[in-house]
This record gives sequence, C-alpha cells and structure tokens, in this order.
Amino acid sequence: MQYSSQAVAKPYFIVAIALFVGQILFGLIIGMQYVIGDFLFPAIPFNVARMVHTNLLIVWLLFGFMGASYYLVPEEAETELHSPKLAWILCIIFTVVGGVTILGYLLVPYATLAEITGNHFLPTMGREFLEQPTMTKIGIVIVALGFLYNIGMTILKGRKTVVNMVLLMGLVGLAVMFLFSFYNPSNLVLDKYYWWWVVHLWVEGVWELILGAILAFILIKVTGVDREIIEKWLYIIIAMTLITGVIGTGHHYYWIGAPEYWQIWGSVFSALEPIPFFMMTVYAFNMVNQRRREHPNKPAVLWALGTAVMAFLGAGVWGFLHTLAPVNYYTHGTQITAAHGHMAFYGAYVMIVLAIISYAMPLLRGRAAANSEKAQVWEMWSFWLMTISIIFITLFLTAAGILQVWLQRVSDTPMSFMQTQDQVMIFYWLRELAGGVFFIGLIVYLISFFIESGDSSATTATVDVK
Amino acid sequence: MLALEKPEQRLAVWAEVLYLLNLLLLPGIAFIILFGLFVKHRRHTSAFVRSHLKQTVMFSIWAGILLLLVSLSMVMLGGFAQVYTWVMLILYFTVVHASFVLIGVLGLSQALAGKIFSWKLSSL
Repeated sequence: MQYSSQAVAKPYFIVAIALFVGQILFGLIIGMQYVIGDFLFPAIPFNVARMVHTNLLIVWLLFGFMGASYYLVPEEAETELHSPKLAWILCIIFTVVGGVTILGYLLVPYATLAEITGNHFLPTMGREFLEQPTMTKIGIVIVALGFLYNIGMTILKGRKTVVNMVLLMGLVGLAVMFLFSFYNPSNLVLDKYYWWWVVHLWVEGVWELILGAILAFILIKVTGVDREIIEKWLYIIIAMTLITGVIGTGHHYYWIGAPEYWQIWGSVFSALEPIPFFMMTVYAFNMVNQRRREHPNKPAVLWALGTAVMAFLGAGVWGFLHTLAPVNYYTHGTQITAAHGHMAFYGAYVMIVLAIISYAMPLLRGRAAANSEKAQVWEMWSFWLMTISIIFITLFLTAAGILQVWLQRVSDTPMSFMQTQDQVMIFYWLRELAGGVFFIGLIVYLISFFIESGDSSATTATVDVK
Repeated sequence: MLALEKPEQRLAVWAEVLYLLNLLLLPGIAFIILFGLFVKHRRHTSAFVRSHLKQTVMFSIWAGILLLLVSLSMVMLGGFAQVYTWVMLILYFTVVHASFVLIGVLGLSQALAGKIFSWKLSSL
C-alpha cells in the first residue's frame, strides 16, 4: 500500500463481502421457494426474499466499487485521499442505511414500510430493483455526493490518468442515472421508459466504465505492461461500450408501449453490445501474455482473466441469445432472462469486485504483495467452485427458459404460467443444487482470508519476466 | 497497440482473426481464405506460424463438425417438433460455439504476444 489513506478501502470491502454472503443466502431461500412454495412462509415471503436478494447485490457491488475507488484513486493520482474521515463516515452511514432498509423489508409489510417512511410525500417505491424507501434513496444520493466529492477532489489535486478519469466518468454516470429513480410518472409506459435509464444505463452503460477502469488498474499492476498500451485498449472498449450500450437501451422498449422503431434500433445496437466484452477478453489475455513481471498474487490474475471471460459469456453471449426483437417476442421475461442476469452480473461485476479485493486486501493487511501460498490455493478453489456453479446455474435456467417458451408461448396448446412452472421443476432443483455449491465456494472464499501460514515465499514482491 | 512488426506475427494474427471471423461474422468465406493461407504457408520455416495455422484450421474443421453435423444429427434424431430437441440443441450450440470463440481469443492473444499456440493456462 503506497498511501496510508488507501486503508479506508478495507471496511468497504469487508461490508461488501458480508452483504455478498447475505445475498447468496437469500438466493438459496428463493431458489428453494421455487420448488417448495411455502418454504419459510409466512416469515419470509418470496417477494420479500427476492427483493432482499437483488437489493443486497446492488448495495454490495456499490460498496465494492467505492472500496475499489478509495484504493486505486490515491495510487493513480499519486496523492493521499482528500478526506479519509469523510470516507469512513460515509461507510458507516451507508452501512446503517442499507442495514435498516433490509431489516425494514424483512420485519415490516412493504405497504407499511412505504407508509412509515413517508413514501406518499415523494412516491418512488414499488418498482423492481428500486424498491428502497424514498428516505433510503435520498441517503444513497447523499452518500454518492460525498463519495464523488472525495474522489473528485483527490483526482483534482493529483495526477490525472486515463484509469482515474474513466472511473470518475463511470461513478458520476452512476450517480446521475440514479436520479431517475426519483421520477415516478403515473403513466406506466413513461415509468418503464425512465426506469430503464437507471437499470440498463447502469449495468450496460456506466458500470462497464467502472469495470473497465478497475480491470485496467489490476492489469497494470499484475502484468507490468506499459500503461499507454492498456489505456489505449481502455479507450476503445469504453467507446464501444457507450456506442452500443446507450442506444442498446432500446432492447427494453420492444413491448412496453414505446414506438415500434425501437425494435430495429434496439436489435441492431444490442446485437453489437458483445463487442466491448469480446475486446475485453482479447485485451485481458493479451496483457497477461505480454506481461513483464510474475506477480505473486495468482488469484488476482485469475479473477481478472475470469472477469473478462465470464463477462463475455454472461453479458455478451447470453445477452445476444435473446436480444433480437423477433426472438425476444417469445423469450421476454422467461427464465432465459434470469439465466442471462445471473451470469452477466457474476461475470462482469461480482468478479471484478472480487478481483480488486483479491489484489488489494493482502496489501491492506500489510503483506508485501500477496497472501501465503496456502491462502491463495483456497481462494483459487473458491474461484472455480463459484464460477463453475454459476455456469451450471445459467445452463439449468436456460434449459428451464427454453422449455418455458415452448410450453407457454410456442405450442399450439399453450399451458398457463403455473402449469409450465410444474413442468420445469427439475431444472429448478438442479439450479438450487448448483446454488448450494456456489455457497460452498463462498465459504471457501471466506476461509481463505483466515488462513495464516509461515510460508513467506508468496508474499514477496514481484519478479520480472525474462 | 498492435505492434506487428514481424511478418510471421502478422501471419499468425491473420490466421486467428480469420478463424474468429469464420465463427462470428463470415462463416464459410473466412474459412476458405484461412484454408488458402494454410495451404500457402503450411511449410513455413517458423514453428510459431505453423502452430497458429494448424490450430486455426484444425479447430475450424472441428467447429464445423461439432456445430453443423452434430446439431443436424440432434434435430434428425430428436425430431424437429420435439421440445427436448430444442432444449438440448440451443444449450449445446451456445456452449460449443462460445467455447470455440474463447479458443480463438486465447490463440489471438498468444499470436499477438508472439507465442506458439498452447492450451496450458500456465503458459499465459
């Protein structure tokens, strides 16, 4: 760790991992409720558990992005963080706000939660992924503003690098797009239209900039390849991301009541969306192939390469699978969407946050470059367990989705939604099984943090490649 | 970004690009060009060039067999109007096609780095 203020990233990473565990636990609960409908009912109804699962995902990834920013911005800007104290305060506020919100979901009926948090003054609740009470949303905005001020001031007084600037662009975009969650028109078409400005322009827009910047930072550190080469790749990747992703929003406008021309615009531009992910894979492998140093932190390299590959598969391939309007006419809102969502989120965002944690955490814990060999082996096991199980989760959900499309929408004698669910039950069981393996992988990941070893060989600094 | 100063490297990169084009954009056409490149340079003095030409042609042929012939067999054996034919076919095609693309990415990155094609991730 080059700057003492980078230490503030550590609490963010710890909270992120804790919330990640919560997210997976609730994922297992809803996975079980798919097959045993009254599992944990009425204590934890499906709609509540699903809300907790998705909201925890968003919040822990935000914690991860913030931790990553607090770690890499001082190092890139070659200066201490503007205010480590502010970063600490915001971490506490965000943790308390997030924790209270999740407890609210679990302990109080949603309608009561809306009432007691004053939703009627500025109604923003009741929409998928944006279920947070208005007060929580205001809290998120305050945290985001404080965070951007802190990061912005640090960059302003220090060195401006491409990595820093792309990251800042992504973070500003993230904050700006979130403001559309406060716009809640009574016209459902209009509501959906702008709702996607938060959801789509986050995950297929500005978040990709954050992903690109973090990946570039890690690759610079672990490969020793010239910054200029990595920055040129980054420029092209983010350009392609924005060129395809912004108009690609149109793939959400096919059937919501928006004009028909979106079926063409959405199809064409979202068919191009795999390009930046494809480039990212070529770039990550290319940089590792041209590396000038052997970094002792093998899991960090593995997570970085894994991010590129899994993001390409999850976001690129599985996105393309159902993005063209004539295909989406049949697949819209089926388990194929769920399959894409799981692999894309894991590949693009979960893995990049775990990559930066893997790179930074040993340094934040006072090690020279990496954890002990033994801890690294445990971490790499967790990588393979989680990655392989998410692949199987995706395959089982895809199978369920294809069957669902056929029985419910293609067949001459279409079944009802619930009849179809009975027919795809076997795949839900298999998905749950794969989810269980994922959870084991997560436990192995947690254990890797607590493995101490007398072996100091792995913790030494990098070795140049001859 | 792509400092392809050596003609050998240019040739290897072209082979990998044509392999990927065959899978992603110009099926058939890109393979014909790739095969022409292979016939012309198959006895190239550089082992690096030979490894990439051989890998790309070999995997293109395997991709053709696994993606076209096996898929066709699945439809013929399973029945066109059978739901499980489509469940298996779509899953099979997506996974196998994506795997061949990833092999191409691996090969391209090795060609760009001036390395002989290798399966081993440890060679990265």
